[in-house]
Amino acid sequence: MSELLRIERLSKNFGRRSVLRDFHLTIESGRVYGLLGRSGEGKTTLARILMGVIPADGGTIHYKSRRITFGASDYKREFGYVPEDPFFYDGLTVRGLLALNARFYPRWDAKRAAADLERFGLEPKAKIATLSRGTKLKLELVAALAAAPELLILDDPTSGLDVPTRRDFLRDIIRELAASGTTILFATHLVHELERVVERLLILHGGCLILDEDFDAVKGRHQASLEDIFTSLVSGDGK
Amino acid sequence: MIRVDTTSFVPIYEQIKTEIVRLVAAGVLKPDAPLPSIRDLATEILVNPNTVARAYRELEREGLISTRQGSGSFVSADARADVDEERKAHLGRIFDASIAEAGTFGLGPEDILKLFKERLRVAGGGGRKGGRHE
Repeated sequence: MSELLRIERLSKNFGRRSVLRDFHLTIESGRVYGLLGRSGEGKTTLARILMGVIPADGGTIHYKSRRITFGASDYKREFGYVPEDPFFYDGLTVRGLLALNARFYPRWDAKRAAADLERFGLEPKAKIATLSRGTKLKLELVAALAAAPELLILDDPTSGLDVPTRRDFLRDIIRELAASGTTILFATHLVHELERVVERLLILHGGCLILDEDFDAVKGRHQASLEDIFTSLVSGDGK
Repeated sequence: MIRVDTTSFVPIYEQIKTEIVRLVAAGVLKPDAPLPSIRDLATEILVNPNTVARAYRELEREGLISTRQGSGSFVSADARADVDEERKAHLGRIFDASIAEAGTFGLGPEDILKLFKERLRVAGGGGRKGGRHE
């Protein structure tokens, strides 16, 4: 396994509030990283910095050994991003959105996008404004996967969705893993989904990772469920 | 037919291994029978394909299954013998625990044997009730 992403000494403040500080993380290709943290601990901030939506205040990020700087866009074409609240142009149709994305991604796989639409039961002519949140999530995933990403960043995408929809989403992620071995950074506060796919467990607390270890080893050491491990590690300091 | 419990403390790849051993021992999976592909099993039981691959890899190293290039994984022809051994060892551990427990109650070998025969009779001769092994 080779190093895909290396984050060193990353920091980010919002006003006087320090969200990330001295944050380190190395991601190797082909593995599933589960990033757990309570709401407001900086999971989304990290995802947005990686996607170049907001700048970091300090630290460095290397992708495939090349330094990423704020404002650069080429690397982003190799990242897939599925956030909790995606921004869509509501006036577009499903097909229109995919056509728009196809122009930005050099590795865009139109056949695959069409097949996924059918599998998910998404109507190409439907207006995005009329779609439910669960259906929009599926559309996001279709768009992200058609771009054949090296790194797929999932930022609490299933938050607020019902259990069957979350299961469907998980099944699609697993299919993708089996088909192409994509590297995944799965940030969430929902431990149940994560428990089924995570290989490397990351716990974000107080601005940096308080845990970065293989999940099976963590489980063996704690003899507890992920929910209990997570709770015991992040609670009890009055935050 | 393969079940995993994600809330268990046992790693998922271990659970998959145990399940396959159980199915071979129970005769559900016969020697030379094909196993589901890694991809199919992963999507069916909703776990990471790498986890299924690890379970298959370890079972292969232990000789219970074999993988043929391009045609998937199969139960080994002589898997049953290995499994029979494993089964005896597993039951032996359960018996050992019972014997130790009986010892703390002050029961001797004769008492234990009598009790065991009685339980066998209750269970209808050691039949197929509740046949799930852990």
